Amino acid sequence: MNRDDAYYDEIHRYLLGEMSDGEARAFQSRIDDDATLLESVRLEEELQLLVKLQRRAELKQMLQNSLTDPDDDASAAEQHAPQTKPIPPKDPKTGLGGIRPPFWKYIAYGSGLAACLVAAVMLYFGNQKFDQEEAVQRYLAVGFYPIKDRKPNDAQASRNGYVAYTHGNWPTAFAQLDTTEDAPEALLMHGVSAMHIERWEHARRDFLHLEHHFNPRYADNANWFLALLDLQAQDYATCKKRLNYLIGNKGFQWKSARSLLAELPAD
Amino acid sequence: MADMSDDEIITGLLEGGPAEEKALRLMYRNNLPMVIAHISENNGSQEDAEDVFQETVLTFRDQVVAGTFLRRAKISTFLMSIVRRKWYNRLRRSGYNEGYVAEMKHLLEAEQESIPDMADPILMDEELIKKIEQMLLKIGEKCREVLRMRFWDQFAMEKIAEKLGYKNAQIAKNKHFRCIEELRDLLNNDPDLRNTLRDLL
Repeated sequence: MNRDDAYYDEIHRYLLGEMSDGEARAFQSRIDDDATLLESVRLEEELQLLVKLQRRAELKQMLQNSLTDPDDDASAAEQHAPQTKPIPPKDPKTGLGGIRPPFWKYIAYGSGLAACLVAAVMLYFGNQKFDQEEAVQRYLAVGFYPIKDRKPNDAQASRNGYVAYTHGNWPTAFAQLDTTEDAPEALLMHGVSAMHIERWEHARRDFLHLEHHFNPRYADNANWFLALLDLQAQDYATCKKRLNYLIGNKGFQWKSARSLLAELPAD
Repeated sequence: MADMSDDEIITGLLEGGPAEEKALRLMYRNNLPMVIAHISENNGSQEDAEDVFQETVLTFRDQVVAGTFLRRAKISTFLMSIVRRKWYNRLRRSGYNEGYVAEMKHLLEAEQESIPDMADPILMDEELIKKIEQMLLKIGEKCREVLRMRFWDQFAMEKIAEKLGYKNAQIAKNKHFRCIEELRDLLNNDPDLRNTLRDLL
């Protein structure tokens, strides 16, 4: 390392807080006495800020995009996961090997009965690769419509329910939120809590009520969660109808709706 | 949705790069509904909630890297405390919702010990970011990676060498100083950007 590099290395260690207290104090007094060094420190500080601002902006954008790219964790994990097993080459005699499901070997080598069973299973579940339960959980975290005009509510149960909701304590939120008061935001939180604890029918009732009995601005929100409930019930046709409604209106979470629509099995 | 324990999140944040990104995304997506609920209840929009929470997870990351997160609470609880503080600051600045501000002031005073004082992050306009990105594009991808590891992740040269597959720390150091010199020249030739950055410091 040449002299210039040592000079800047010291400045970086000072700016990054890597010096001991004594070293930092000594360096600070040198800065106070040396205008050239002070100017160098300022320039290095600006360079570090420049790098940090760029990374911060990059990560902020990534977080923003993560709401509309629900698969990014899976794809990133796949991308960075070490490949533990090499892909076997194809067997020239049987034509088997390479990337294929493990049950292929049973088709090739097992009894006729096993082959028939596997074939039947494949035929029956051929269109079931899409895991709707996993998709519901994934999209459930997307959020909901902002509520700006909620009036303070002194009812103890509602208050407890709201606190439980904000802490992600879904069973308590579900039990405490009083849907009988018919406040749309209470219905919304009750419905979302119900989904988290898999009380699907309760959730459906809340969102249908929300969709039909309140200000239209809640309709988008209700439609989104009803679409997830349809998805859970494997009613893909109704789910698609609701997603198309959200996409067509450019409504609540329409980009997420578009992503989900693309994932659904074909008719 | 995939999940991570608090320990795994902290390890991911300290690891930098893709591990850091994954930890940030999971914290963000898993806790955003709570944040939206809180901010919606207090005169904010979903956009406000997203913006405040993006800043929150990045502030949390800074605290982990700086070693000031003392793990007295679960990460999700700690994040909500930061959200409340940030939202309180925003509302107070805009002179909005006196009731909430008074209530939060009381609550935050009680929390004072558990959350270190935090400056609000620098507000960045798109034009500035574009200018910075254009400048960093000129130094090449490898240089950007080295500088990110040194200044953002705050890795020592040994770790940078290990991450980038260099034989030893000296090679990483030489690369780092070549890159910083290149960037220094570019910044020195752009007095407007220098002035903007200086104002932000």
